[in-house]
Amino acid sequence: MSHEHPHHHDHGHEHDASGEPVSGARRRFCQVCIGSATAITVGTVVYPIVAFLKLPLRLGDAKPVEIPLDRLSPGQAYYADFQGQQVIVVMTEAGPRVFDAACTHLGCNVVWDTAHSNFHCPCHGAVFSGEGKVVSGPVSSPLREIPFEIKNGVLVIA
Amino acid sequence: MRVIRLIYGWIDERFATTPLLEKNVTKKMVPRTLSWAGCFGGLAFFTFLVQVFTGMLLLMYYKPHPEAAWDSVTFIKSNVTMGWLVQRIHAVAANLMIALVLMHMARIAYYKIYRKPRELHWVSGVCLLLFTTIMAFTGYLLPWTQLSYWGAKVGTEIPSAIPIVGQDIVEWVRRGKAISGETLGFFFSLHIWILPAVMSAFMGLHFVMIRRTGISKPL
Repeated sequence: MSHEHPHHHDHGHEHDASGEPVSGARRRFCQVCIGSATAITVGTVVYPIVAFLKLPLRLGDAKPVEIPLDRLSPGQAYYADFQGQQVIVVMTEAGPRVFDAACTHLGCNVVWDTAHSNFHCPCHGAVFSGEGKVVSGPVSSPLREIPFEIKNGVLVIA
Repeated sequence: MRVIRLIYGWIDERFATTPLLEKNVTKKMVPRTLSWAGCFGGLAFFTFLVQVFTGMLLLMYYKPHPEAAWDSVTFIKSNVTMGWLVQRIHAVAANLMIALVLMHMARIAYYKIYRKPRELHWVSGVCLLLFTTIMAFTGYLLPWTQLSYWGAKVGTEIPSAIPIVGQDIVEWVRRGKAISGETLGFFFSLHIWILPAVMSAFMGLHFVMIRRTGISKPL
Protein backbone atom coordinates (compact mmCIF):
# COMPACT_ATOMS: atom_id res chain seq x y z
CA MET A 1 0.00 0.00 0.00
CA SER A 2 1.51 3.35 -0.94
CA HIS A 3 0.20 6.51 0.60
CA GLU A 4 1.05 9.15 -1.90
CA HIS A 5 1.21 12.74 -0.88
CA PRO A 6 1.15 15.50 -3.44
CA HIS A 7 4.36 17.17 -2.18
CA HIS A 8 6.38 14.10 -3.15
CA HIS A 9 5.88 14.99 -6.74
CA ASP A 10 6.96 18.63 -6.23
CA HIS A 11 10.61 17.60 -5.67
CA GLY A 12 12.88 15.86 -8.11
CA HIS A 13 13.32 12.78 -5.87
CA GLU A 14 11.26 10.77 -3.34
CA HIS A 15 11.31 11.23 0.43
CA ASP A 16 10.34 8.84 3.20
CA ALA A 17 7.90 9.72 6.03
CA SER A 18 10.54 11.64 8.00
CA GLY A 19 11.57 13.69 4.98
CA GLU A 20 14.85 11.81 4.27
CA PRO A 21 15.54 11.15 0.59
CA VAL A 22 14.90 7.55 -0.45
CA SER A 23 17.99 5.84 -1.84
CA GLY A 24 16.13 2.99 -3.54
CA ALA A 25 18.38 0.34 -1.94
CA ARG A 26 15.64 -0.85 0.42
CA ARG A 27 13.11 -0.95 -2.35
CA ARG A 28 15.50 -2.98 -4.49
CA PHE A 29 16.16 -5.32 -1.56
CA CYS A 30 12.40 -5.88 -1.14
CA GLN A 31 11.95 -6.41 -4.86
CA VAL A 32 14.72 -9.06 -4.90
CA CYS A 33 13.20 -10.82 -1.85
CA ILE A 34 9.67 -10.86 -3.26
CA GLY A 35 10.97 -11.80 -6.71
CA SER A 36 13.00 -14.76 -5.44
CA ALA A 37 10.18 -15.98 -3.19
CA THR A 38 7.83 -15.87 -6.20
CA ALA A 39 10.35 -17.67 -8.42
CA ILE A 40 10.86 -20.44 -5.82
CA THR A 41 7.09 -20.86 -5.38
CA VAL A 42 6.45 -21.01 -9.12
CA GLY A 43 9.40 -23.39 -9.53
CA THR A 44 8.16 -25.86 -6.93
CA VAL A 45 4.81 -25.99 -8.74
CA VAL A 46 6.12 -26.09 -12.30
CA TYR A 47 9.00 -28.55 -11.74
CA PRO A 48 6.87 -31.55 -10.60
CA ILE A 49 4.39 -30.94 -13.43
CA VAL A 50 7.12 -30.85 -16.10
CA ALA A 51 8.82 -33.89 -14.50
CA PHE A 52 5.49 -35.75 -14.49
CA LEU A 53 5.15 -35.21 -18.25
CA LYS A 54 8.54 -36.85 -18.93
CA LEU A 55 8.54 -40.40 -20.30
CA PRO A 56 8.11 -42.73 -17.30
CA LEU A 57 10.53 -45.52 -16.41
CA ARG A 58 9.28 -48.74 -17.93
CA LEU A 59 10.83 -51.63 -16.09
CA GLY A 60 10.27 -54.06 -19.00
CA ASP A 61 12.45 -52.12 -21.44
CA ALA A 62 15.86 -53.37 -20.35
CA LYS A 63 14.90 -57.04 -20.45
CA PRO A 64 16.94 -59.15 -22.91
CA VAL A 65 15.19 -61.62 -25.21
CA GLU A 66 16.16 -65.24 -24.48
CA ILE A 67 15.17 -68.08 -26.80
CA PRO A 68 16.39 -71.68 -26.26
CA LEU A 69 17.88 -72.94 -29.53
CA ASP A 70 15.86 -76.18 -29.42
CA ARG A 71 12.69 -74.12 -29.90
CA LEU A 72 13.93 -72.95 -33.29
CA SER A 73 13.45 -75.30 -36.23
CA PRO A 74 14.89 -74.90 -39.76
CA GLY A 75 12.88 -72.69 -42.08
CA GLN A 76 10.68 -71.44 -39.24
CA ALA A 77 10.52 -67.95 -37.77
CA TYR A 78 10.19 -66.91 -34.15
CA TYR A 79 8.71 -63.50 -33.31
CA ALA A 80 9.78 -61.60 -30.19
CA ASP A 81 9.56 -58.12 -28.68
CA PHE A 82 12.88 -56.41 -28.08
CA GLN A 83 12.82 -52.92 -26.53
CA GLY A 84 9.36 -52.24 -27.89
CA GLN A 85 10.11 -53.35 -31.46
CA GLN A 86 9.36 -56.64 -33.12
CA VAL A 87 12.28 -58.86 -34.05
CA ILE A 88 12.19 -62.05 -36.12
CA VAL A 89 14.54 -64.95 -35.45
CA VAL A 90 14.98 -67.23 -38.47
CA MET A 91 16.76 -70.58 -38.42
CA THR A 92 18.74 -70.75 -41.69
CA GLU A 93 21.03 -73.50 -42.86
CA ALA A 94 23.99 -71.44 -41.61
CA GLY A 95 22.44 -70.99 -38.18
CA PRO A 96 20.06 -68.50 -36.57
CA ARG A 97 19.76 -64.88 -37.74
CA VAL A 98 17.86 -62.04 -36.11
CA PHE A 99 16.21 -59.23 -38.05
CA ASP A 100 14.41 -56.06 -37.11
CA ALA A 101 10.86 -56.71 -38.40
CA ALA A 102 10.48 -53.07 -39.55
CA CYS A 103 10.38 -52.94 -43.36
CA THR A 104 13.04 -50.54 -44.66
CA HIS A 105 10.44 -48.90 -46.92
CA LEU A 106 7.96 -47.29 -44.50
CA GLY A 107 8.36 -49.29 -41.29
CA CYS A 108 5.51 -51.82 -41.38
CA ASN A 109 6.31 -55.15 -39.71
CA VAL A 110 7.31 -57.81 -42.23
CA VAL A 111 6.12 -61.39 -41.82
CA TRP A 112 7.96 -64.63 -42.49
CA ASP A 113 6.59 -66.62 -45.40
CA THR A 114 7.42 -70.24 -44.55
CA ALA A 115 6.43 -71.61 -47.98
CA HIS A 116 8.86 -69.34 -49.88
CA SER A 117 11.40 -68.89 -47.08
CA ASN A 118 11.35 -65.12 -47.40
CA PHE A 119 10.00 -62.01 -45.70
CA HIS A 120 6.91 -60.31 -47.02
CA CYS A 121 5.71 -56.81 -46.14
CA PRO A 122 1.89 -56.52 -45.93
CA CYS A 123 1.86 -52.76 -46.66
CA HIS A 124 3.41 -52.34 -50.13
CA GLY A 125 4.44 -55.84 -51.08
CA ALA A 126 8.18 -55.65 -50.48
CA VAL A 127 9.91 -59.04 -50.43
CA PHE A 128 13.20 -59.80 -48.65
CA SER A 129 15.16 -63.04 -48.89
CA GLY A 130 15.84 -65.27 -45.89
CA GLU A 131 19.15 -63.39 -45.51
CA GLY A 132 17.26 -60.08 -45.36
CA LYS A 133 18.36 -58.97 -48.87
CA VAL A 134 15.96 -57.09 -51.15
CA VAL A 135 14.18 -59.35 -53.64
CA SER A 136 11.45 -57.06 -54.99
CA GLY A 137 9.17 -54.18 -54.10
CA PRO A 138 9.66 -50.47 -53.37
CA VAL A 139 12.72 -50.98 -51.15
CA SER A 140 16.41 -50.31 -51.68
CA SER A 141 18.07 -51.42 -48.45
CA PRO A 142 18.09 -54.81 -46.71
CA LEU A 143 16.40 -55.61 -43.38
CA ARG A 144 18.39 -54.44 -40.36
CA GLU A 145 20.19 -57.31 -38.65
CA ILE A 146 20.30 -57.43 -34.88
CA PRO A 147 23.38 -58.79 -33.11
CA PHE A 148 22.92 -61.69 -30.70
CA GLU A 149 24.92 -64.14 -28.64
CA ILE A 150 24.55 -67.85 -27.96
CA LYS A 151 25.10 -68.82 -24.34
CA ASN A 152 24.65 -72.45 -23.22
CA GLY A 153 22.28 -73.25 -26.05
CA VAL A 154 20.19 -70.11 -25.52
CA LEU A 155 19.98 -67.31 -28.07
CA VAL A 156 20.27 -63.98 -26.25
CA ILE A 157 19.43 -60.56 -27.74
CA ALA A 158 20.61 -57.83 -25.36
CA MET B 1 9.05 -7.38 -17.28
CA ARG B 2 9.14 -4.90 -20.20
CA VAL B 3 7.88 -7.58 -22.56
CA ILE B 4 5.05 -8.53 -20.21
CA ARG B 5 4.08 -4.87 -19.88
CA LEU B 6 4.10 -4.47 -23.66
CA ILE B 7 1.87 -7.52 -24.17
CA TYR B 8 -0.47 -6.39 -21.38
CA GLY B 9 -0.63 -2.90 -22.90
CA TRP B 10 -1.53 -4.36 -26.30
CA ILE B 11 -4.39 -6.37 -24.80
CA ASP B 12 -5.50 -3.54 -22.48
CA GLU B 13 -5.72 -1.09 -25.40
CA ARG B 14 -8.20 -3.37 -27.15
CA PHE B 15 -10.25 -4.89 -24.33
CA ALA B 16 -9.98 -2.23 -21.59
CA THR B 17 -8.93 -4.85 -18.99
CA THR B 18 -7.54 -2.34 -16.45
CA PRO B 19 -10.89 -0.85 -15.32
CA LEU B 20 -12.28 -4.41 -15.13
CA LEU B 21 -9.37 -5.58 -12.95
CA GLU B 22 -9.55 -2.47 -10.76
CA LYS B 23 -13.28 -2.86 -10.18
CA ASN B 24 -13.13 -6.58 -9.37
CA VAL B 25 -9.65 -7.18 -7.93
CA THR B 26 -7.13 -4.45 -7.24
CA LYS B 27 -9.47 -1.67 -6.04
CA LYS B 28 -12.35 -3.80 -4.86
CA MET B 29 -13.48 -2.74 -1.38
CA VAL B 30 -14.07 -5.41 1.25
CA PRO B 31 -15.43 -4.77 4.77
CA ARG B 32 -12.64 -3.52 7.05
CA THR B 33 -13.72 -5.91 9.82
CA LEU B 34 -13.56 -9.01 7.62
CA SER B 35 -11.27 -11.50 9.40
CA TRP B 36 -8.97 -14.18 7.98
CA ALA B 37 -11.80 -16.68 8.53
CA GLY B 38 -13.40 -15.15 5.44
CA CYS B 39 -10.74 -16.95 3.34
CA PHE B 40 -12.06 -20.49 3.76
CA GLY B 41 -14.45 -20.35 0.81
CA GLY B 42 -11.74 -19.07 -1.52
CA LEU B 43 -9.29 -21.65 -0.19
CA ALA B 44 -11.82 -24.43 -0.77
CA PHE B 45 -12.10 -23.23 -4.37
CA PHE B 46 -8.30 -23.23 -4.59
CA THR B 47 -8.15 -26.88 -3.46
CA PHE B 48 -10.78 -27.65 -6.12
CA LEU B 49 -8.44 -26.18 -8.75
CA VAL B 50 -5.53 -28.22 -7.31
CA GLN B 51 -7.70 -31.35 -7.67
CA VAL B 52 -8.59 -30.47 -11.25
CA PHE B 53 -4.96 -30.02 -12.29
CA THR B 54 -3.47 -32.98 -10.38
CA GLY B 55 -6.43 -35.07 -11.56
CA MET B 56 -5.65 -34.21 -15.19
CA LEU B 57 -2.08 -35.43 -14.68
CA LEU B 58 -3.16 -38.68 -12.99
CA LEU B 59 -5.64 -39.31 -15.80
CA MET B 60 -2.72 -39.65 -18.24
CA TYR B 61 -1.90 -43.05 -16.70
CA TYR B 62 -4.95 -44.18 -14.72
CA LYS B 63 -6.90 -47.12 -16.18
CA PRO B 64 -10.50 -47.56 -14.92
CA HIS B 65 -10.60 -51.34 -15.18
CA PRO B 66 -10.60 -53.81 -12.24
CA GLU B 67 -7.62 -55.69 -13.67
CA ALA B 68 -5.59 -52.58 -14.45
CA ALA B 69 -6.59 -49.89 -11.93
CA TRP B 70 -4.35 -50.94 -9.06
CA ASP B 71 -1.36 -51.57 -11.35
CA SER B 72 -1.81 -48.21 -13.06
CA VAL B 73 -1.83 -46.34 -9.72
CA THR B 74 1.28 -48.29 -8.64
CA PHE B 75 2.86 -47.38 -11.97
CA ILE B 76 2.15 -43.69 -11.33
CA LYS B 77 3.62 -43.90 -7.85
CA SER B 78 6.79 -45.84 -8.73
CA ASN B 79 7.59 -45.30 -12.42
CA VAL B 80 6.35 -41.82 -13.29
CA THR B 81 8.71 -39.02 -12.27
CA MET B 82 7.10 -37.05 -9.42
CA GLY B 83 4.08 -39.33 -9.82
CA TRP B 84 4.13 -40.18 -6.11
CA LEU B 85 3.94 -36.46 -5.33
CA VAL B 86 1.07 -35.73 -7.69
CA GLN B 87 -0.86 -38.76 -6.41
CA ARG B 88 -0.26 -37.76 -2.76
CA ILE B 89 -1.24 -34.13 -3.41
CA HIS B 90 -4.49 -35.32 -5.03
CA ALA B 91 -5.30 -37.53 -2.02
CA VAL B 92 -4.29 -35.02 0.68
CA ALA B 93 -5.92 -32.02 -1.01
CA ALA B 94 -9.17 -34.04 -1.17
CA ASN B 95 -9.22 -34.25 2.63
CA LEU B 96 -8.16 -30.62 2.89
CA MET B 97 -10.98 -29.56 0.58
CA ILE B 98 -13.62 -31.21 2.78
CA ALA B 99 -12.09 -29.61 5.89
CA LEU B 100 -12.09 -26.17 4.23
CA VAL B 101 -15.66 -26.49 2.98
CA LEU B 102 -16.79 -27.42 6.51
CA MET B 103 -14.86 -24.52 8.08
CA HIS B 104 -16.36 -22.16 5.49
CA MET B 105 -19.85 -23.41 6.35
CA ALA B 106 -19.20 -23.25 10.11
CA ARG B 107 -18.35 -19.56 9.82
CA ILE B 108 -21.44 -18.83 7.70
CA ALA B 109 -23.60 -20.69 10.24
CA TYR B 110 -22.00 -19.02 13.28
CA TYR B 111 -22.46 -15.47 11.95
CA LYS B 112 -25.91 -16.31 10.48
CA ILE B 113 -24.78 -15.07 7.07
CA TYR B 114 -27.30 -17.43 5.43
CA ARG B 115 -30.17 -15.04 6.26
CA LYS B 116 -31.92 -12.86 3.66
CA PRO B 117 -30.74 -11.97 1.00
CA ARG B 118 -28.26 -14.89 1.03
CA GLU B 119 -30.55 -17.94 1.44
CA LEU B 120 -29.72 -19.37 -1.98
CA HIS B 121 -25.99 -18.95 -1.34
CA TRP B 122 -26.46 -21.39 1.55
CA VAL B 123 -28.62 -23.77 -0.47
CA SER B 124 -26.13 -23.93 -3.34
CA GLY B 125 -23.36 -24.29 -0.75
CA VAL B 126 -25.02 -27.31 0.86
CA CYS B 127 -25.34 -28.86 -2.62
CA LEU B 128 -21.62 -28.21 -3.15
CA LEU B 129 -20.83 -29.93 0.19
CA LEU B 130 -22.81 -32.94 -0.99
CA PHE B 131 -20.96 -32.98 -4.35
CA THR B 132 -17.61 -32.62 -2.58
CA THR B 133 -18.30 -35.64 -0.37
CA ILE B 134 -19.46 -37.70 -3.36
CA MET B 135 -16.26 -36.69 -5.14
CA ALA B 136 -14.21 -37.93 -2.18
CA PHE B 137 -16.25 -41.14 -1.96
CA THR B 138 -16.03 -41.98 -5.68
CA GLY B 139 -12.33 -41.07 -5.82
CA TYR B 140 -11.63 -43.40 -2.90
CA LEU B 141 -12.68 -46.44 -4.96
CA LEU B 142 -10.53 -45.66 -7.99
CA PRO B 143 -7.14 -47.06 -6.76
CA TRP B 144 -9.01 -50.40 -6.34
CA THR B 145 -7.27 -51.36 -3.09
CA GLN B 146 -8.77 -53.54 -0.34
CA LEU B 147 -9.51 -50.38 1.62
CA SER B 148 -11.29 -48.69 -1.29
CA TYR B 149 -13.24 -51.83 -2.19
CA TRP B 150 -14.62 -52.31 1.32
CA GLY B 151 -15.07 -48.57 1.76
CA ALA B 152 -17.27 -48.50 -1.32
CA LYS B 153 -19.13 -51.60 -0.14
CA VAL B 154 -19.96 -50.10 3.26
CA GLY B 155 -20.71 -46.66 1.79
CA THR B 156 -23.09 -47.92 -0.87
CA GLU B 157 -24.85 -50.00 1.81
CA ILE B 158 -26.17 -46.82 3.47
CA PRO B 159 -29.26 -46.25 1.26
CA SER B 160 -30.48 -49.78 2.14
CA ALA B 161 -31.87 -48.26 5.38
CA ILE B 162 -34.50 -46.43 3.32
CA PRO B 163 -37.82 -48.40 3.47
CA ILE B 164 -39.11 -50.14 0.31
CA VAL B 165 -36.81 -48.54 -2.32
CA GLY B 166 -33.57 -48.81 -0.27
CA GLN B 167 -32.27 -52.02 -1.83
CA ASP B 168 -33.06 -50.76 -5.34
CA ILE B 169 -31.04 -47.60 -4.71
CA VAL B 170 -28.10 -49.67 -3.45
CA GLU B 171 -28.17 -51.76 -6.62
CA TRP B 172 -28.55 -48.68 -8.81
CA VAL B 173 -25.51 -47.03 -7.23
CA ARG B 174 -23.46 -50.24 -7.46
CA ARG B 175 -24.64 -50.93 -11.03
CA GLY B 176 -25.46 -54.45 -9.85
CA LYS B 177 -25.67 -56.54 -6.70
CA ALA B 178 -21.98 -56.30 -5.78
CA ILE B 179 -19.08 -53.87 -6.20
CA SER B 180 -17.65 -54.76 -9.61
CA GLY B 181 -15.99 -53.34 -12.69
CA GLU B 182 -19.32 -51.66 -13.49
CA THR B 183 -19.19 -49.81 -10.16
CA LEU B 184 -15.65 -48.71 -10.92
CA GLY B 185 -16.65 -47.39 -14.34
CA PHE B 186 -19.67 -45.55 -12.91
CA PHE B 187 -17.66 -43.99 -10.06
CA PHE B 188 -14.92 -43.05 -12.52
CA SER B 189 -17.33 -41.20 -14.82
CA LEU B 190 -18.89 -39.42 -11.83
CA HIS B 191 -15.48 -38.53 -10.46
CA ILE B 192 -13.78 -37.15 -13.56
CA TRP B 193 -16.61 -35.70 -15.64
CA ILE B 194 -20.14 -35.58 -14.27
CA LEU B 195 -19.45 -34.16 -10.81
CA PRO B 196 -16.72 -31.69 -11.84
CA ALA B 197 -19.08 -30.31 -14.50
CA VAL B 198 -22.04 -30.03 -12.10
CA MET B 199 -19.82 -28.57 -9.38
CA SER B 200 -18.43 -25.95 -11.77
CA ALA B 201 -21.96 -24.86 -12.60
CA PHE B 202 -22.94 -24.61 -8.92
CA MET B 203 -19.72 -22.74 -8.08
CA GLY B 204 -20.33 -20.30 -10.91
CA LEU B 205 -23.81 -19.65 -9.53
CA HIS B 206 -22.43 -19.38 -5.97
CA PHE B 207 -19.83 -16.78 -7.06
CA VAL B 208 -22.20 -14.75 -9.25
CA MET B 209 -24.71 -14.55 -6.38
CA ILE B 210 -22.09 -13.36 -3.91
CA ARG B 211 -21.09 -10.64 -6.38
CA ARG B 212 -24.72 -9.51 -6.74
CA THR B 213 -25.50 -9.36 -3.02
CA GLY B 214 -22.00 -8.43 -1.84
CA ILE B 215 -20.34 -10.17 1.08
CA SER B 216 -21.97 -9.84 4.47
CA LYS B 217 -20.71 -6.87 6.51
CA PRO B 218 -20.01 -7.77 10.14
CA LEU B 219 -21.32 -5.36 12.79
